Amino acid sequence: MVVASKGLVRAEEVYHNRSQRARELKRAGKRIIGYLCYFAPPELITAAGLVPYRITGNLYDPVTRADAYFESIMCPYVRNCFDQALKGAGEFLDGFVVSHTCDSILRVSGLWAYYNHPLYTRVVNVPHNLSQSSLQFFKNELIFFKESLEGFAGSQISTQNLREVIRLYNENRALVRGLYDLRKQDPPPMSGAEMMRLLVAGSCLPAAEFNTLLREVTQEVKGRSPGPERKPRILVYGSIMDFDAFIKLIEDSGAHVVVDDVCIGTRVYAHDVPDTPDPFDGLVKCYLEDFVCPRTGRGWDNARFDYIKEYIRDFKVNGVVFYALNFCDPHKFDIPSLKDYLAQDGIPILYIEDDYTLANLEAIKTRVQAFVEMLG
Amino acid sequence: MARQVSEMAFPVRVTQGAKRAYQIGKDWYAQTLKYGEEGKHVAWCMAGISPELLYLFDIAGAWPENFGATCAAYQVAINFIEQAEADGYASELCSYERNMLGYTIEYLRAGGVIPGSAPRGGLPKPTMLLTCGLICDPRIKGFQALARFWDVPMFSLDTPNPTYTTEINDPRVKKYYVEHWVNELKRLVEFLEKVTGKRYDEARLQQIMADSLETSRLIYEIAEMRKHVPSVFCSEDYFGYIHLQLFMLGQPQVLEHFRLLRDEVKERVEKNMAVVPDEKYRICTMGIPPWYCLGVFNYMESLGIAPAMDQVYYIGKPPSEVDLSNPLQAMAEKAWHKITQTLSYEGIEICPEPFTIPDNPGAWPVGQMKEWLDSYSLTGIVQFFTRSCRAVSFGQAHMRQEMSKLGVPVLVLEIDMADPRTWSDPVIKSQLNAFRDVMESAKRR
Repeated sequence: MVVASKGLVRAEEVYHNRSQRARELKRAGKRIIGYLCYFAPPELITAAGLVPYRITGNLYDPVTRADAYFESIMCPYVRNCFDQALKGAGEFLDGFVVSHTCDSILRVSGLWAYYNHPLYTRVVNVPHNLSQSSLQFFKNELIFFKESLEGFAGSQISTQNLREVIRLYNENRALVRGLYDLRKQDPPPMSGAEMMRLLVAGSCLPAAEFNTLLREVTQEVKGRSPGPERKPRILVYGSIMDFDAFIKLIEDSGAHVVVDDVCIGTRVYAHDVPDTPDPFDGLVKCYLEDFVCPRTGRGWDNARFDYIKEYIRDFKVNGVVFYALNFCDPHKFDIPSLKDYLAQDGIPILYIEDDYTLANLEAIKTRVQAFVEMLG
Repeated sequence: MARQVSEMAFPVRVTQGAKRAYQIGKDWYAQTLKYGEEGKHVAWCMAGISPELLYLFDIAGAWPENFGATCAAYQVAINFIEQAEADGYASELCSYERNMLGYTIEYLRAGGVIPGSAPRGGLPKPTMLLTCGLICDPRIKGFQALARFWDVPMFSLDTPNPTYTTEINDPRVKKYYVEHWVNELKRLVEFLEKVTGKRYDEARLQQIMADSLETSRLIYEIAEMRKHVPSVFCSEDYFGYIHLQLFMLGQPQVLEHFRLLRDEVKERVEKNMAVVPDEKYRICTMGIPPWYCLGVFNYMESLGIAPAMDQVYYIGKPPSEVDLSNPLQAMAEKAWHKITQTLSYEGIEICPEPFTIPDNPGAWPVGQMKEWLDSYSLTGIVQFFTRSCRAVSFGQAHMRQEMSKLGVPVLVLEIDMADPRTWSDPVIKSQLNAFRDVMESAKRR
């Protein structure tokens, strides 16, 4: 492995060449497991001696092949990921893991296996409730996921090993939260686009290497002199994003994106896996109870959004930008309720819909600029 | 105000059973309204909630799926749908849910008065909201949205179905799935006891479940008789009774209805009473039909095409023996039976969650369709590609790929189930006319 660069430069390199490290590890004899979405803990993949690799899309490569197999009314992000796979982007992957997150993620699982023929495929079922029985069910699903990984890897996952891996991933989480905390400063020493690139890069690296990268970035960011002038502070909420383009667009319009409520963002890093006598109980707590993906029924009233107001308070947010992908039912059904909820406190909101292409970039830019101007 | 989008809006049906099913549906709405007036319990709920349990607790069930279909059939859904969209609900969201949200908004805006345009007198306000995590995301999300408007007790049933990688033959796996389903059903029973103040009556539920199973067997018998050539029972009649199958299982008049219908269809088979006098082609439909335009089946028939089979809501073969001593366990076992039975068909890989505790599959495997091509003597497939129902429309593209390998013609009609705004008579008719020609060419080959 030749690693010449460090810190944010290294993060940017990985971000732009996401599979490079996984391909190196593959050449060194490791087996790589691609995963979509986040309910199937990568800790278990790592503990099995396999390398987890978060599958992402390619915002700049339109869907051309998936149309023949995957309906146009499904999530454009998942369609893009599937399209990339059909074009060979994941040919280095030995296995494919997916969880029952939303309709599109669940349903692409079979198509993926049917048309891409990974050596190993696993669908981890995820309950929609947080009842005691639902938590126990999810625990059983994770235990059988572990068994299935052991079968593929040909090695057992010991409790001790799993605990060590969980500690490694919790270090990821703590270091990421530390960086978010630095962004509470006004002005923040690290941009939202830098953070996005770092987190996407981290999702493509083994956890130990991500820890090294995070420590380097933390040192680098702490050493920065005070940032540019104060600007409106934005929280970005919504569907998955795995490119910095949208965040950059907001920041180029004269605002700081200081915090987010998206996947590959706070949703993944906000909570540790707690240290429990049975480590599977800790995994259930982190990956089902604490993971605030709107696909899970987390209550009926607006209290389910309370954590967003905590972000708004803690990060001194001036305005919220909703980013919703077309056909994203879990987010789009919530939009009117969340608007109501934030409007009670007079929090300004901008709502942007996209089809994971940012094709109408100029129109979006105009709306974002007007919003930032209004906040300023 | 009704806004009719098609000259094919209203179907002409052939069976006496269709008239009876229509009347039972009307009476059901009247009874639901009466429950509302009398202060009895009315549950707004999504398919996936057991209608047998509602019947046990003397709760009138009002179902957005059915109300959306009914509003569409009465040509008024668009009013409510546009209302929901004006309130911020995106146009690609489930049109049943948009219809329900729009209805709610109008109801509350009028100060708690049922909107005048609502069909069959409308629905009374709910005393509880019941949903589930099955089939699709809009079930939970749509009801969270309804919770903006209704301050009533709410419940969500969590019964995840095995996926195609689940080890269904491992008894440990069956144990934790069925245990979880039973636990959730018990949680629902406790909720209903608390809200209604009534005690769970196991003996009565045993009888209701027995009736429900018997009804399911009759429905399956009718589906089997649809294999007869020429077709004696077509899609317009099938979709005319579907509310009974999906939302009223376990009720004696529904059991009686299907006994009579089974006899009627049997007689039609024996007398060779064709729906299409000069039947040339036989198709299976996939997906949810355009409820605002069920006369489209009559148009197909005018072209010599018999809509001989329908994939959506197909009930499958019910188990011959079910131990009803513990009826909640029986519900779970029945669902497990269906899943394991269906998972054994080739092709299930692309529809990992087509099963529910009631008989309401949302998608269907390729292997099953291949078998139907022979057993139902099909010459083609018509897919209703419904824009706002991702759960049911998913898998159609894969099905087309697999069918093209066999040379089976497939027509895609891009529509919606309750939102009629994309419908166009000339476009649909020209597609069907061309499809008839394609089937003719395929026959010659």
